[in-house]
This record gives sequence, C-alpha cells and structure tokens, in this order.
Amino acid sequence: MAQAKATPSTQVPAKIAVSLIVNGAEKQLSIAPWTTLLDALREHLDLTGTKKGCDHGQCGACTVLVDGRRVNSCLTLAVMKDGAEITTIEGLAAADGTLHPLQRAFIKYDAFQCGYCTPGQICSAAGLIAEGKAKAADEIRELMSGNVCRCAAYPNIVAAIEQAMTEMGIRS
Amino acid sequence: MISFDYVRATDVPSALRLLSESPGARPIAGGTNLIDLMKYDVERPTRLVDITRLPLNDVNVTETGGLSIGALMPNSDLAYHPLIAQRYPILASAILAGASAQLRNMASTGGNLLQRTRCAYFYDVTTPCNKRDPGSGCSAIEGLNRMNAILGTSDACVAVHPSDMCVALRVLDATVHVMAPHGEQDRIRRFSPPAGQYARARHEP
Repeated sequence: MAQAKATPSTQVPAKIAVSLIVNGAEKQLSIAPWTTLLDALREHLDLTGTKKGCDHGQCGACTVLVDGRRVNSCLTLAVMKDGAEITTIEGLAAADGTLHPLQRAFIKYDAFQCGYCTPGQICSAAGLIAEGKAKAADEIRELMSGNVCRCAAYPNIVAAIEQAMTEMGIRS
Repeated sequence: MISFDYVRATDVPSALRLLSESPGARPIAGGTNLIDLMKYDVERPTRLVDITRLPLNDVNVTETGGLSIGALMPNSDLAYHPLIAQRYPILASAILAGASAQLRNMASTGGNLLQRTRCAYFYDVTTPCNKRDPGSGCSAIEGLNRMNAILGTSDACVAVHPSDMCVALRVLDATVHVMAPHGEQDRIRRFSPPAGQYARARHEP
C-alpha cells in the first residue's frame, strides 16, 4: 500500500520491540504500543488458552501471572512488561505433561461447565496460593471474587482450590 | 484501542519532562483505570509515559513518626504491608474492600488517588458530563442516578468518589506529595474536593 502523506498528529507510532519470557521460553515481539498483553498472547503468540471475556478487567477470564503475580492481561500493555516472565494456563503443567494440582482438582471436582472462565480461574487460583492470604473457604471465595463464572460453578471451584491447597501441603 | 506514542521514563525529572512536552500525554502505572477509559474513548491520550520503573514503590517511616507511601506502591502490597496493617488497619481494610485481587496487584497508590469517577454517564461519551467535558451539563442529576451521591453534591455533578482507599486517607488526614516541575504538596481534602466544590482541575476524580 502506498505510504500516505501524514501530518504528525495522524502518524501511526512505530512498532516496539518487546521481549517476554512466556511459560519459560523467550519470545521476541514487534508490536504496536496499544497491544494488550492478552492480545499479544492470543494474536501474536497463538496462546489462545487465555480468554477474552469483558476486556475491561471485570470478569477475570484473561488472568495470567506476570512475574508470579496474577493480573488482568486485558488491562496490561504488553510493551510495559518488557523482560517480564509470563505464565499462562499453557505453562502450568510440568514439562512431562503432568497437570498442575489445580488442573487435576478442577477436573476431579468438575469445577466448570462451559469452561470459558476456567483458564482464568486456575491462573487466579495459582496467584492466590502464591500470595498465601487465603486458607479457609470464605477467604478463598473473597480473594477469587475477581473471576466470574457465568455457569455458577462456584461451589466446585472453591472445593477444587481447597483440594489443590491440601495436596500442595498449604492446607490441612 | 486508539493510537498513541509510548515512552518509558527512567527517573522523575525525565518523567516530568516527557509529560510536560506533550499536552496530550498521560502517565501510566497500573493502567487499570486509564486503559479501561481509553477502550471507552473517554480518555484519548496522544502519549503514554510509563512511570512504572521509577523508584517510588516503598513505604518509609517519616521523621514525625508517620508513614510515607510511594506513588507506585501496588494496592495489594500496601494493604498487606506490616506497618499499614499494624498502624492504619482502616487503610488496609478500605483497600481490600475495593476491586479484585488481580486489579489490586496492578493498581498503584498514586493511580488510586487519581482514578476517575465510575458514574455511568462519565463513561458514556454520547451523553453530556461536566467531569468529562466541563460545561456540557450533568446527565445524572435528572437521569438514572440511584448509584450517585446524596451528600456533597452540586448542581454541576452528583458523581460518587470512586476510591475506597481515599476515604480512609481522608479519615487519616493524609498529605499528598505532588511532584511537579516546581514541587508542591497538599492535604488530601484539597487534592480531592467534594463535588460541592466542583473544580475543573484535570486530576479531580
């Protein structure tokens, strides 16, 4: 396409080089500054496990771990996370394919119906466990309130997280 | 989302320069409010100045025995900080009453102070709103306003202040230290006036 004569106010800013360590592997990207981490994962790295729900930070479907902390990837600009370690649902299982205790517990307790919120729920629960602020069921419910489940699988989600915590020796 | 230019500040003076040289520039830290508003077309910055790598993310004991909180301290780290939990439990409780664990992990203390109102008309760019477009009128006064303010309103705005954290800071009579090219500081009650004292300053939530 021919390059249009552009005034500074309508010029599209150049793409920016970004390096992310995604699920242990270094990824080099060249992206527009307005690319969210969610879109970078899904559209540029083909990691479609992370889901786009509301795209406004309210539903939690896009939850991933950035340097071990759970965040809403839809409200995160990828360029701002240059050099960061990102863990998505695709990166939780062990290298040999053994599922994470949370993944096993979600299957065992049938902690989903349609499954769309599940990657976000599991990444959020992994962040919750790392934070170490929740042990009892009511604390788990409160600190998982950033993840909405339209199918209302909440009782099973809480049971699955309790089970994973027990298995990981965090909860007796 | 809209097109904008992205720059990263390396220290406070460079952040102030990058912000002041471009009238459409906004600082960005957690981004939980600004990016949301950009997706709704309420905020249309031409440049984002990333301030997240500035050394402003700690809590220090001051000479007078109070606490000084860095503007980039994440909401969750502040709420769970041992000195906050021990000395100002109202601040910890207020922060943990708002948003979600993910948003609190992202959102900064300074950004919490500067977040904009959650009034539905402020978000709806097809309607008049004095906060979004000063002088255009208030759609909430005669509109769907059961979530809007009852006390501290004016004939220009009935928006509710969006921050739980700021309520606790107001109770504690906190001081906001503002870094500007000429430096200044202010009491939180003047930094964030009630709607009755409606101000057009851009920082006003």
